[in-house]
Amino acid sequence: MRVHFPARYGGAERETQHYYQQQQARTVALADYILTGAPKYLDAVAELDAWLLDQATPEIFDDGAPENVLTLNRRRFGHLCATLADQGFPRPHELTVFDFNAAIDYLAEKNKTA
Amino acid sequence: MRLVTLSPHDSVLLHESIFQLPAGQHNDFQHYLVRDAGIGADPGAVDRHFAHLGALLAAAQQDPASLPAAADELALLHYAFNDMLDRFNPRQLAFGCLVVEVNGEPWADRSEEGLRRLLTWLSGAGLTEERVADIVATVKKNCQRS
Repeated sequence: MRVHFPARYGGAERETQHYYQQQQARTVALADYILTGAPKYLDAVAELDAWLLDQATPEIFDDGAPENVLTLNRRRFGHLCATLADQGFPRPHELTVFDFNAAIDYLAEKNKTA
Repeated sequence: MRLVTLSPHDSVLLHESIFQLPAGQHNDFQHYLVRDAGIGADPGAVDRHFAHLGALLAAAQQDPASLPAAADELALLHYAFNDMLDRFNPRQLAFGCLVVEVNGEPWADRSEEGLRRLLTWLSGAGLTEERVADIVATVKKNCQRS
């Protein structure tokens, strides 16, 4: 998806890369601490651990909660289908994933130039 | 499409790329993957939730602002434990969302109950958890990279 639709899916890749870099920095700091015993490296590990913990906020799956991640995803997909149906794409959920995303891209571009 | 042979008599035909998979089925596939990643239903998932809960509680000792997240994590631990006891496997149901045909016959029932019935039958026909995990990971990769 990120090859064909970079504007919409490229951001997730950048976030993943940043997360990976932080994990890498933590490993290096831990290795430095093991090799040198200097407490400053342990502080760096603690700081990175706090950051990583902050990124891993648990998602909400409670039935009936408005912020339930599954409900939000379904609603978002329903809205996209309704938008496509309004614009003359009948039964948009039956389009292939590629055609569905291409149609969304087309409408987004069309709205930008309108 | 990909034909997966389970035994000399049993096979399933699957969608495996964004050029074949209908958007509605992909959304259902993602639904179960989000559930698998966020909750999970095996001892590994329960361990991960315990570890994360411990880290959040330790952080809450310094900053009580972490307590709501710890409460959410406790709920996830509870769900993962229940799903494990209930043998509810979201990764298997994600696999079920990709199925087009079973032994040459179209499979159209994609309700949660229908998928559970399908997976019970496929498991009996020789589908293993390793194979499910491998195919689901491949399709996920195909969708992200293509």
